Amino acid sequence: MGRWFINSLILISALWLTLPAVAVELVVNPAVTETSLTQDKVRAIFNMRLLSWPDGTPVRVFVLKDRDPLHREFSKRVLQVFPHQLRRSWDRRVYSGVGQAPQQVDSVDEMRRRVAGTPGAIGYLPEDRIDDSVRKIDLH
Amino acid sequence: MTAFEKSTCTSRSHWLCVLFLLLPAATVAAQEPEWWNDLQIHGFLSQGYVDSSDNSFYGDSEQGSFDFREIGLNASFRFSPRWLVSAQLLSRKAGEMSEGGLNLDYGLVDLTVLSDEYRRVGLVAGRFKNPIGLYNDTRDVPFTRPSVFLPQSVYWDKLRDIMLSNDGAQLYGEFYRGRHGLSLQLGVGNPPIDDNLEWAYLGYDWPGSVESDSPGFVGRALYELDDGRLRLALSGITTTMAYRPAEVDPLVAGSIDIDYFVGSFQYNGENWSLTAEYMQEPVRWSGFEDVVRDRRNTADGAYLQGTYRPLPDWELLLRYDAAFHDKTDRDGERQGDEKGLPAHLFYSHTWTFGLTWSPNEHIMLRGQYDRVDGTAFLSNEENPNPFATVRNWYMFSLLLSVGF
Repeated sequence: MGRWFINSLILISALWLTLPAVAVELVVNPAVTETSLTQDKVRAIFNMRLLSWPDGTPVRVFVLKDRDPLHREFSKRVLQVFPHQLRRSWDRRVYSGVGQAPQQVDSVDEMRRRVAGTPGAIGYLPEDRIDDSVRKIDLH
Repeated sequence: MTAFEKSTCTSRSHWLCVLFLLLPAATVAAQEPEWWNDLQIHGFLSQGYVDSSDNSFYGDSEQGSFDFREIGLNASFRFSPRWLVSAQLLSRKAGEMSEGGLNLDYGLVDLTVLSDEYRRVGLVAGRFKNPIGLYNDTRDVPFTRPSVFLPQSVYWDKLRDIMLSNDGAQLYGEFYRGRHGLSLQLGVGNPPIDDNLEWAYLGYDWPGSVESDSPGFVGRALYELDDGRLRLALSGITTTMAYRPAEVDPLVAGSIDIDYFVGSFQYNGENWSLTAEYMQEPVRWSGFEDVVRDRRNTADGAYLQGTYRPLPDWELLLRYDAAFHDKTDRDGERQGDEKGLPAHLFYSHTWTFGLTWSPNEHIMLRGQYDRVDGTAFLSNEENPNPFATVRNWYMFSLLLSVGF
């Protein structure tokens, strides 16, 4: 019994450790002047209701596909909503004409390139894929 | 070309972008213009199939009907964080209820007056979608609905024209504090209306025409917890339609006052949702003298719906829906006696089982089985002989839809 318990514990720990422990980080175009964002602000931005930075630059939001593991991680951990809820909220705005959806990119590399090349851009990247072309922004 | 395409197209709009970009590809510079980021184009196309044991819904469904098609294309451009213009063209074929002609679904200018993380306040002008219940604003967009057909007790297809949109203006305010959000909309305008309403409210396509007489109001108050985990809403519309007789017409001029109120509840878990809505519609006919009796009547209806997603690509739906032409006569006996018609014309109880498969954001295939007692939500236009309608019937439907 004790042996079974220990084996199970080892197995569970092994599974736990092999889970993709991606630390997802918010990134912005380097010209964005904000250095940190509140949780409320990030939620407002990704729900497409906060439309400009304090200096007036339009906020341009980039996301990965709905089923991308990094997008799921970002939605649940940072925004604290389920990806299908986000999709419905974007669809409701787009298809009733009162808003736009984030721009969807196909890969992490494309995300970095688009955020680096678009004024006012915000997106997210795995911690180890951030370079000087974009700027990491703190959440507080 | 590749960099340009990647940088201007959202994944949802890829196909169209390819088309768009093939044309000017030779002339554009490699550098993307910044404004391309602020233009979005989206669309959808769906084809349905309806097969019913008896009665007609969305075409001659007893024989199997393909007369259910929705095609939409929209574009929006954000000139600045304050100004947005958008428009959607819609072609909808729905049996005899909708002919498939091209309509302007919405076309509007949206001015955001105030926007920060705690609020967004603004004004919309033009043709805007009516914010009624949880689904009306996007009711013709297949992947925003939970099922092939919306629950008829709240979203009557035969009354859709009066609920759909308004030509006018709308004020909106969204307010947020922590986990709580409150969204308020108040609009004024005239609905663009057509013959379906004559069938629905005057029982026949008379020689004259029904017009929206004076501006009506529409509004919704929606509370959301955690950006949509819990959603509670009250919404309504009030409008007056006038009947203008033709030169030779058995019907005299009269007016119909229609109110439409909906209370809504939704809870969204990670893999399941529970939704319930209740509708009440008080209607008053006046001035018609004998042919259409002056009277008041209140219809109502409600549904309870559960959805469950066992796997990321699959969703199951179970719903019970009940609709009544007169809330003081839910079994239809009195109305049947008064008019010499079968009682089942005045109520319907519907059990719906649905299955949706969507392997990605672009494709959706949906099947649905409806078991119905009563025929209240059927269109008179599609079922002109009330004595030929069958009380207990069922319906199988399929819907394939693509979006970008």
